[in-house]
Formats: sequence, structure tokens, C-alpha cells
Amino acid sequence: MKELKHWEDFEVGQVVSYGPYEVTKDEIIDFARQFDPQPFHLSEKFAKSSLLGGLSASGWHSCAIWMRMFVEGWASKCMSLGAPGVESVRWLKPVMVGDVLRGRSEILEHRTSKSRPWVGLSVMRHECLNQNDEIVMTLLSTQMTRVRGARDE
Amino acid sequence: MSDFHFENIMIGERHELGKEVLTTAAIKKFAARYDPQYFHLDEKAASDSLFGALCASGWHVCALWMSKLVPYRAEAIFTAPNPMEALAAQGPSPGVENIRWFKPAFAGDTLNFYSTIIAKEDWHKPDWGLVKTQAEIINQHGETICSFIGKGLIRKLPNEE
Repeated sequence: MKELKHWEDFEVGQVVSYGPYEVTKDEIIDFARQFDPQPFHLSEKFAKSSLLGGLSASGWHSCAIWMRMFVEGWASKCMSLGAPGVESVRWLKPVMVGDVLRGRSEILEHRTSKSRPWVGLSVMRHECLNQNDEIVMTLLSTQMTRVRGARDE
Repeated sequence: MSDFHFENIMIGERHELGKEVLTTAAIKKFAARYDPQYFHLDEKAASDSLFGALCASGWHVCALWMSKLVPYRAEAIFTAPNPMEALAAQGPSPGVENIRWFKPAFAGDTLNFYSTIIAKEDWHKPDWGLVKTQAEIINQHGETICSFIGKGLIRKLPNEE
């Protein structure tokens, strides 16, 4: 088994890519039923007659799908300590049935926590793209990763 | 009659959207599909993590807020004096800002969901305005575990010409 990466193994400017993820009709409807039951996410018939011309995923569903890809591409490969938040999420284009999404994340800032030196902080800009290379969503977050040399307090 | 148009949206009103008891099964179901990290999936491993116990994905908490907002808003729209007009005033959301996960949401927690309209801004399309809402998720101990700023486009009143 490959050793998990620590904060020291990353640097500013580094880009991580992940995906693909195909978004199906059933999954869009299933998520919408549980979390965002609006007609344009639930009813194909309604959505066909709407401006978008088809069923689109909830914005929160796009976030969840991005997270799945990001866990596979980043968080599961390093000593991830999660994220305290997300500074911004932009839903730039609708995610439609049949879209194949992928993502990439770039490290913009890279430092250690002053109060907890064993926590490394990476400010990352994430992009989620569809099969036509259109950016459907961007996120800006601060990811926390364990620092190799430092001890827990 | 035109309460739902941008001009008539009131800043400062806090809406209580509802509550939800988080179950272990719901936490694991969401995490298995969308956020498969051990502190959301495995009780034993989670108890040794910095969270101290199995806790929900932050995105799960946000999605639950949405699941309370949608029926709350639907009721307001469909009981308005002119529901079709109220519905037509609702636009899409361009995104959210400043999501903060202050504390974990554990299995068994009762989460309370709130929404407060905090700002109204012009949008680059003149027929629409941007409304910002402060979302708050508060647990049974009165602790705010998550907050963010939601954004929604709302139609402006038609020009009387």
C-alpha cells in the first residue's frame, strides 16, 4: 500500500485532477426527492418544457458529486483532516442528465496553522467541468492536511 | 399580491424552516455515495478521529437545510394571493458563499434550520435582483454547527408602461 501524502508533499501551483462521473436521470431524481424537491430537478416532463429543456441536477447535488470525486482524487490519498468551510461555490451552468463531470483543483496558498502546527492549510480553487469542457461550478476552500514532522498537542 | 417580487422582499425576517433528527443510517447512506471518508462511515474509526464520533458530511448538513427550505417556500408561494405570479418571481441560485462547518453533526443530534434575508443587490440582468440569505443550522444544545450565505435571483416588478 502506498503511503498517504502529508502537507509537505504538496506545493503552491500544484494541480490535482479527478473524475469522470456520469450523472444519470435516476440519480438526479433520487437526490432531488431527498433534498431539493423542485419540479426542474424532479420531473422530466416539466423540465422538457422549461427554459433548460431537460432535467437538471440540484446545485447541492453538484457539490456532493464534486465531493465524491475530490475524495477519490485527493482526500483519500493524503492525511486529510477535512475542511472548516468553503469560501464560495458558484453554479455557473446547469448540470444535465447524461453529463460526464470531472474536476481539477489548484493549490493557491500553502502554510501551516499557527495555533496547531500539525495542521497544514491549503487554499484550493476547484473547478468542475462537463464533457464539453465547460466549467459548470467552481469552489474555493481551505483544506486541512496533517504535517509530517509535527506532533499533536 | 406582489410580495414575492424583489422590491417587496423584507430584509431581516428570520424564518424557522423546520427540524430533523440525524440518524446513523442517514449519515452513512449519504457518505457512502458522496463523501466516503471514515469519520462519516465507521463509528469505531470515527471515535479515534479528531471529531470524536461518527458525524455527517458537511454537504449532507447543507443539503438537509435545502430539504427544509423547499417545502417551506412552496407553502408560502402556493398560499399567496396570486400563486402563479409568486412562482414566476422565483429564479435560480448563482451559488453560495462562506460555508462554515463550526462543529460536527453527530448521529442522534436534532438539527434546527433557519433562514434570514440579509441583503438585496442589483444583478447584471435588469429584470432580476439578487437576494442573500443567512442560513443557520443549530443543534439541540443551541450551538450553531453550520452557517452559509445563500443567494437567489428574484424577479423585479414589471415596469408600468
